Amino acid sequence: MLTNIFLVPVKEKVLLHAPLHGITALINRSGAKLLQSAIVNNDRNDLPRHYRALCSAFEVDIEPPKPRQGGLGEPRFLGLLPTRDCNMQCLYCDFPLSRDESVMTMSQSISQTAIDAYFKKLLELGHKKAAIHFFGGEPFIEKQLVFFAAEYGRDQAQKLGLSLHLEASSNGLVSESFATWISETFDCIVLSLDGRENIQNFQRPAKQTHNAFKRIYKTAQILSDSPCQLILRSCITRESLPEMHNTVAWMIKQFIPETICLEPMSESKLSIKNGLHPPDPWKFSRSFIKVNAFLEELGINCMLSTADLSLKTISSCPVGHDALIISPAGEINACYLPNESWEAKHKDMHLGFLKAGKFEISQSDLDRVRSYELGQKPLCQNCFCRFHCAGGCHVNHPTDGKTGAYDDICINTRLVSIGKLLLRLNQKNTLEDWLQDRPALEKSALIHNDRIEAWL
Amino acid sequence: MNTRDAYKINPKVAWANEAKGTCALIFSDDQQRIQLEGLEAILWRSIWQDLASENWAQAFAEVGKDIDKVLKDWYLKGWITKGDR
Repeated sequence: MLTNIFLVPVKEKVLLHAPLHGITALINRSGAKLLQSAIVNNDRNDLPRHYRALCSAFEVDIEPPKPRQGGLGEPRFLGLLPTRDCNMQCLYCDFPLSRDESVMTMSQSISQTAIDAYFKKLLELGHKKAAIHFFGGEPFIEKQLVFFAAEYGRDQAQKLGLSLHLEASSNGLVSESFATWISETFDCIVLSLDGRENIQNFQRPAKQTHNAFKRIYKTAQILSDSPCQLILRSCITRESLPEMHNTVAWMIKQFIPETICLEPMSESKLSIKNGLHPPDPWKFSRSFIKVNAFLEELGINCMLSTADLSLKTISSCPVGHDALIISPAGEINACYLPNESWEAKHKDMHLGFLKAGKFEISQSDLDRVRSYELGQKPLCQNCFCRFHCAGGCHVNHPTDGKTGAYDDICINTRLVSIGKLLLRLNQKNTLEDWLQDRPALEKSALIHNDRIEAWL
Repeated sequence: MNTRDAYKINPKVAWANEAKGTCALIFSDDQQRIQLEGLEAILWRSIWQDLASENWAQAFAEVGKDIDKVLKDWYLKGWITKGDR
């Protein structure tokens, strides 16, 4: 049986990472060889005393996470998609408008039925914590619907003795008054803000509003000054990468975000047409790690979604965690992407329908969706990030290729994860040396098999 | 005076959203403080956001309350005024 203990070269040193055991250490190469021999041959006699202590921690066998089984369990959250439409036209948008849903808006009755059914399910399962997430398009353009669903949800949760977490992903292009309501009603907003006026208005122009930046800036200020948790999400292009550090410095000067999420742009037909490019992964990772170190000093999380080291999972998104995402038409899906996106990748994220006030979900649909998990991804089999990233997006990240044939998404994930782990170990000098050595970065990122069993 | 009409909060009324979804209305003349709870607080915020009151008619009816009566009461007290939609 494989140990799920990984070794990654970092210049002359070796990063030992055992995510399931919660152990990370920076050791030297002879130490790595000794540990490998001891663990693989189960012979600890020749080990120095301090390595023996480390080794004994690995004697505890920790089972990797497994897909959920049986009927619908506690849904991670209820997702509501009020509309697929959007009031912005970002130059890199890779979110295709669904054929059937492009102009469709969720009805009040669908949202009410979904909330009632969700709360009922939680109470049946004996759970007291509820969470409703709003996605889009831009959810807040359906002001009436979001207002109804959020206020109704809060009122019902209170009556039923449930705690309710309200969260939304938004572009922030709303009126000042509505932003105030959002800040007083929601617990968390993920706000897409690519940077200062020049970057934001260039990469994320609005459909009808001239200089949308001003309104979005105001929204961010209102959220920042409220108890609502603010997560700023910036999409980094090759063009905006040189400004990434300045962008982040500006963000923390203007606002009080809990987290700043920096995500490299994914190439799409639109981004190609508009002359925007994904950032070079080596340059992006270097810049990200430096920004991460800077933000860490200030107590602000710096996030790359595929390098969330707090996760020990086989699916890093809602898929497989029984999240119920309701489309504008009332279909229940496991993923918020439009059907066309999954179909193009031969995936089926459909779970069921809302019927007679209940979730109608068949066991076979539930099982199929749960099968989209890390164990089915050859690319990730021997990667030290496997339990944090879980292969990333089940739809958009191809993971059925050769084991260890890492793409740009993987390079970003692997380098940023190493950087975060070195920061966690307070190995700033090693980190600095490593970041300046491109061949060393390549060696760390491109090694095909990180398992201790494969260490040479 | 019904849910199909549009209303505005009288700008002379000082008010604030509070934790747990209640709204506090404070009247400067006698420093009286009134707290709106549950559906009434939601209806108040709905007017604040220029949204249609009729969305909440059924919810009021389900708990045996008459939304039109509530709106009329607020209007007569001068808390809300008629607006345009």
